[in-house]
Amino acid sequence: MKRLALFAVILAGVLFAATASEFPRLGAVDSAPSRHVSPAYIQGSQPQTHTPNFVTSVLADYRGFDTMFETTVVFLAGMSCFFILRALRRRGVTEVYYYRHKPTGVVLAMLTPRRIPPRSSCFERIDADWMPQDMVVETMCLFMVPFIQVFALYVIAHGHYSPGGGFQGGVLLAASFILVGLSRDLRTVESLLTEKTAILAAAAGVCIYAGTGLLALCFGGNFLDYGAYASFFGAAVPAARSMGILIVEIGVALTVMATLVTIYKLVSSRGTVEEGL
Amino acid sequence: MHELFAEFGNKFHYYAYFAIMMIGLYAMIAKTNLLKKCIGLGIFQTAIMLFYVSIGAKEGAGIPIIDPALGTADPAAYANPLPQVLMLTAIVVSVATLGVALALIQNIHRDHGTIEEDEILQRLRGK
Amino acid sequence: MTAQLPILAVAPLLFGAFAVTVGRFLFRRANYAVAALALAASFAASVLLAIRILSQGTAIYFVGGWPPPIGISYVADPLSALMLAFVSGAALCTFLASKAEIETSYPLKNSAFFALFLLAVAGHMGIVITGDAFNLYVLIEVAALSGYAILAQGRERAMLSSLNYLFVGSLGASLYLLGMGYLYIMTGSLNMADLSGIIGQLAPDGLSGSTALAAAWGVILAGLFVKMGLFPFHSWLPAAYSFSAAPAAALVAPLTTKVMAYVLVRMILSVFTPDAAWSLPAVNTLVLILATAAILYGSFCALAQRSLRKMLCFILLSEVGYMVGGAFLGNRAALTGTIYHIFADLLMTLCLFLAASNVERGTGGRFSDMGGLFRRMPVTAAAMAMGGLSMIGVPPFCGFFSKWYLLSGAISAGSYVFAGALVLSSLVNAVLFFRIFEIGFFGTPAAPSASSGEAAHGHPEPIPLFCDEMPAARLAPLCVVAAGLVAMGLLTGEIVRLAVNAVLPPGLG
Repeated sequence: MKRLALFAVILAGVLFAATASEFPRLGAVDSAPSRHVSPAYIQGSQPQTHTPNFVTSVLADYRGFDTMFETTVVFLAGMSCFFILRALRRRGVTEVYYYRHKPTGVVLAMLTPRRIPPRSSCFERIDADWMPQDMVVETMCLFMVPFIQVFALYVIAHGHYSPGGGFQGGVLLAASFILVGLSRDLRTVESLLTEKTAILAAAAGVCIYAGTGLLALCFGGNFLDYGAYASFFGAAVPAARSMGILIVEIGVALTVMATLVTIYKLVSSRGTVEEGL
Repeated sequence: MHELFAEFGNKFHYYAYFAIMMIGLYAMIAKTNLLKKCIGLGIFQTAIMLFYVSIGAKEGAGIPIIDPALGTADPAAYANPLPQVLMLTAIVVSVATLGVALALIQNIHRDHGTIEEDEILQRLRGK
Repeated sequence: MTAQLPILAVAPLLFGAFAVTVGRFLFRRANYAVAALALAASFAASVLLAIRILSQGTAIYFVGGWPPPIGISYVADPLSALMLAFVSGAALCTFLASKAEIETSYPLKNSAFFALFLLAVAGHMGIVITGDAFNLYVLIEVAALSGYAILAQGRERAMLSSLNYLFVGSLGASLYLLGMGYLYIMTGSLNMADLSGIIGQLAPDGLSGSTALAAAWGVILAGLFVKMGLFPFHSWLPAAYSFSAAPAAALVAPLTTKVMAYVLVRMILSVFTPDAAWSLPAVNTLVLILATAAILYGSFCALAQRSLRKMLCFILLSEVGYMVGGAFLGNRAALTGTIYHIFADLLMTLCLFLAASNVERGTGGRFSDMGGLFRRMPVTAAAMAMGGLSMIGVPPFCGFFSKWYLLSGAISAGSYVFAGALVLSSLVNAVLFFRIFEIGFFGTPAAPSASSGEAAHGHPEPIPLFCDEMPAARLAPLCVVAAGLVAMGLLTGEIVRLAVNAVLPPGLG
């Protein structure tokens, strides 16, 4: 089987290599992709959308419809993980909860979670395989979080002018939550961004994108034609398009952040969102 | 002979992508570990992304963001933004697929206690 | 507002999916109604669009206001508009018919299921109407990703089969993406109409003049064949569809293979043009061999199955062979047959899968459980009989007409082996369905599971037959689809004139 696979793969590789003869060489200035369509983006981006970063204008405006479905794919991945993995709690199943008495370090195992209030000052809930945290790691990681988040907001907002945008900023935001999860525990993340909020935020993000598209119909434009908002913003068409790009990028960032945190929580806790990495 | 080498030198990146692609395909066919298959799929998709991004390269061109000194009169001064956008989409799609695949693998591991495909199939047949 | 119909056909599904996600926390009880409403709105817009396009001709919708090839466009021509109506109608019927199953199969997660279901339908509808080759890839992934998730719930092997489907499906989509990369590197465009013009200039005498374009066609074909489960790439299909819970299979099975066959036709008609697509004799021969093998393999494996849904899955495999083969016979009649068969097969598989899920629910899916079916579930059994007769190819059902076109195309192309495979597969289908009819009419019914007092007796005695039909809410969509089989058969001439002849190039022989 392995030999056969190797043989087939080598054969396919040789066949593929044989098809490369007509391709332009690397960096050819006169290749078809460099001459057709893409000059229109490069020359049109600034006058038509007020966006010096061509990638952003192509992503969110000229081909914004692709990006809407791309955001939908992200949302879909979150919903799929939820659908496949989430172990919703059933009644009548007893679970063991561990509480640590902070002053003495004594650990209590309890069958019901209600005996000790979750935010008690001298007890804390811990994972079954709890290990004492390294104070240096925890403090440094938590110290980093606000800087990561501010940088993420910069990446989202400055996507018109420099590399960046909704996807990159959203991933950075999600990374800040995941860093909290790695340095503390999953429950801290859950208390910062609950599962319900995350799912609602993911849906809201895609809704912002698709809603911006649909609302353009009311202003007489086509779907996702931000230029139709010119009269609404009281600005010229290119400025309205630039504004529209910013709005959809915010929607994208919201969805990406919420979905990635959701997937992290589900995969790291085997679907229980109780305890994990 | 010399021309052949020159031809190869101009096109070497395509051959590299096809080689990477086939490595991924081999992992998907020959490995029985589901996670390794997943990695194979990732390698396969990455090769295609490299292929696309290489299309956007132009000699003497900078990043696709307006340089005030150059303006936009000459499109040859900027790399082609379209393949980059397309691959941003493809990357997101492949991340989403990977997330779903990991969720499925985790559930399979929960149900069968292993992620070796042949062992799972043996177990299922045993029942 | 009529100019906006192409987008209004897809938008309700997107917003419906977000509404049910939010509804999980706000109005959980109304979620089913919200999802059904979204599907109904999308169906209504599609039907209006189809009526408008069939009477007034093709409309191109510029998304974002950007004209192609700069922006993405939706192309509503007679073929895509009619397909859109069929896809959304099929999804609505499945959804209405499987309310009870959704509630029992996914007790705590039905909001998530609704969202995934709606997005799967949105993906399939987008594939049908888009005029941009890369947008098609994104939509294929939207449709597929939700399919992987909803097929994963079910019997024990469902997870593994779904993961297998994910690997194979992603591989197919990636190959399609690679093929598009070949086209992009040669032409610089992603819009289908633009691509078609440039390919015509680059290779005026057919694809054999350009290695890269021929390779692009080959790679795209390989990707599509993997996605639709043509013979050597089929192993994922029966497993994924037969182990999953019934509503997921009833949605995904009729749609995915047909929509992929539609993409194949779209590639032939709109991207490469038939002359170029058929200009490589080696490819045509190879594809015809694969299609013939698929028909024979699917038919004979179907003979060996002991359960209804698995048998249907293998019939599905042979139907894929019909459509692919017809698309490569290289003449007008065969291509007409392929396009007509996409519609016909969508209805037939929908009818059979809906009937099968009723039967599974009422008696159990194995043939041995199905004795006395015509007495116990007369309406379901009648609908299944109609679906079966159409599959066999009995007039006036639509299955007859597609086979007629395909056969005449095969004979005029001189491809007698393919014609023989078509006839043989019809015979096998006849054997398959008459076996079921025989069990259903003359077989002894199994003891009703709950109230089986008779089983306690020492000797088997005939159990009185009783009518145990499903509620009307489940039967109505099934009856509509079954009636559609006859209606479509009677309207064959109109459909071919309006939707098929309008998109085939006039000079096609």
